[in-house]
Amino acid sequence: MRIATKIRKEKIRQSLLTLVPLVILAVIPLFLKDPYVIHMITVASIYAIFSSSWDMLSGYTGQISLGHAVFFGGGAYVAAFLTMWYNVPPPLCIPIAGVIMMLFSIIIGVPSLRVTGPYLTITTLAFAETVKAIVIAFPGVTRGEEGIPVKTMVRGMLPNFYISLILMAVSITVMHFIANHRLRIPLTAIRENENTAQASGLNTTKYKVLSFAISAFFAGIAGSFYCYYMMIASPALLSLDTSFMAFAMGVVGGMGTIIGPVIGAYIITVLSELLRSVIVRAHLLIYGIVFIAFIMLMPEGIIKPLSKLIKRS
Amino acid sequence: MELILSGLVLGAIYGLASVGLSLIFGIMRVVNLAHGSLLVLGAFIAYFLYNILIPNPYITTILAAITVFVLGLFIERLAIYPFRASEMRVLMITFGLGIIIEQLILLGWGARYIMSPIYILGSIDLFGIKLSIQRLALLTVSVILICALWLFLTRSKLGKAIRTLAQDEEVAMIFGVAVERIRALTFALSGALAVIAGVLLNSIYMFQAHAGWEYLLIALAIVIVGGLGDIRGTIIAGIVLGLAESFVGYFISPSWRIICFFISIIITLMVRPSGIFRRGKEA
Repeated sequence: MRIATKIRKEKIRQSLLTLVPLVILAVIPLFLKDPYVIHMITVASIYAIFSSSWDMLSGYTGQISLGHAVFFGGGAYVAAFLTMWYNVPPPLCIPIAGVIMMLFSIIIGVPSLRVTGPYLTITTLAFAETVKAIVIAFPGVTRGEEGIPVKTMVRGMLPNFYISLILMAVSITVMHFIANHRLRIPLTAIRENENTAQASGLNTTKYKVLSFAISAFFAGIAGSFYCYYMMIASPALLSLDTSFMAFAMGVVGGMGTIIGPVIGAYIITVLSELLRSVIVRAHLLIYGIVFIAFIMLMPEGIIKPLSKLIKRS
Repeated sequence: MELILSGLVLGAIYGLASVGLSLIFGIMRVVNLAHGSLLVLGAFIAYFLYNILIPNPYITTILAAITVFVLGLFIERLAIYPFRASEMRVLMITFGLGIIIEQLILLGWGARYIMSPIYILGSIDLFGIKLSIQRLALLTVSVILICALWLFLTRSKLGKAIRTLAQDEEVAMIFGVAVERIRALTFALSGALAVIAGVLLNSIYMFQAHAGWEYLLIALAIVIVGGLGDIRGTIIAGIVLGLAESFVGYFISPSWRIICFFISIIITLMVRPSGIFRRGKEA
């Protein structure tokens, strides 16, 4: 009996921990009417999905991907093609973009996930740059460097803000459930020691491809919504900078936690906007410095001291 | 013929640029993702010095190489050596460094394109084929440098120490190799080589702050095809891929060159992960 109440209490506490920040974010527009702040949070929410999806692959299986922008930008291009050429309604395009990115990731994941460690990192990096080069190499289809202009899904700051927030909450919940409950044991086994996992009869390739596919699905969703929000799908979304953003947010928040990158996304977005007035041209410089500082001094990310703080209180 | 010559030039320079990456991997088991950014940084420093201080492209190149050499010593000491236990962590750090260097270039010089001031006009006729002196000179310089490097690695005491270390760290320590110092030195040396290759390349292609990642990718492709840590394989692969680039660029389109390098990475990793020219070891 006592254990049951304890578990219930713990569950209530956990849901409170996730609900409270969400509610805070949701009510921000009531108090802060500044469109710039709302825009910032919208972008951060989209990046939160993207970065968590990166974490789903890299944080959990330890296979650092530097090409995750492929799925983000890919989702954006799929959505752009569907709406602008075939007139598919945007709310439908977002899941379609996710599914297409998922299929795409399986096609490239099966051969490339055979390699591990630094080799995988190099492959993903090369892959992303190649996709970008191909997109630029066919200006007839993709309009090259300029990108494809897209019409918005909904007009106005606030609807977009709430859609991004809901999308974020749903995606994170699903990914959290998959990564921390359903696939926790196989994925952690792969991260800790892939050979041992394989030796104890685990089909490591299957699980790696699975987490790759899920990760690509959510990255595609994030990318397609981003392209509707920004009204453009451009090669910049496929670039290394975009992959780096997901990576940096994951590292700052805490890899292998799904929730960590969400925190990281909000922290980094706010930080870079605050510092934008100091350094105008090279905002990635700040990410780079923060990123390295975290890897050197706090490789587990900000979530570790944060969760300790919450536990104590 | 023109095509083969430009392919050879590119190949030799690529070989020079990639050897450093290969050396670093051989000795430290580190994939240095900041390599391309260092290469571009060197070209920018040389360009800057040329315009501000010394209007002699050769002296500025050497000065830039020395600058990056010193920078390399610091980077190895502060950012890589303390974290050497974790391969992936070092990989991430070098990636972050690459981003920082790229952004610093952007901050310092903006998004403009630069071209190395090394150029020699004119061309010579060889059996009725026109060959530009510029290309021939570049080829000569890079071949000389590769030979010098080769002699350094095989003949000098330091070079031998580096190669021993690449083969077996413990044995090297037993034979009295100062492992820590050699590690830093190799990192710095590979940076300096990248700078020289960068300046040479810069006289063929224009550079911009973001160019580093492209050249990193090219160097990685070469190193992977040649076999990580294998110097001879790297140079051969550099020449082969340089020729390939030159032909692809001529017959298809220059924008396809990255694609062709990528395909070579994938094929090599699929077929022979330890390099085309190497007996199989670890994947």
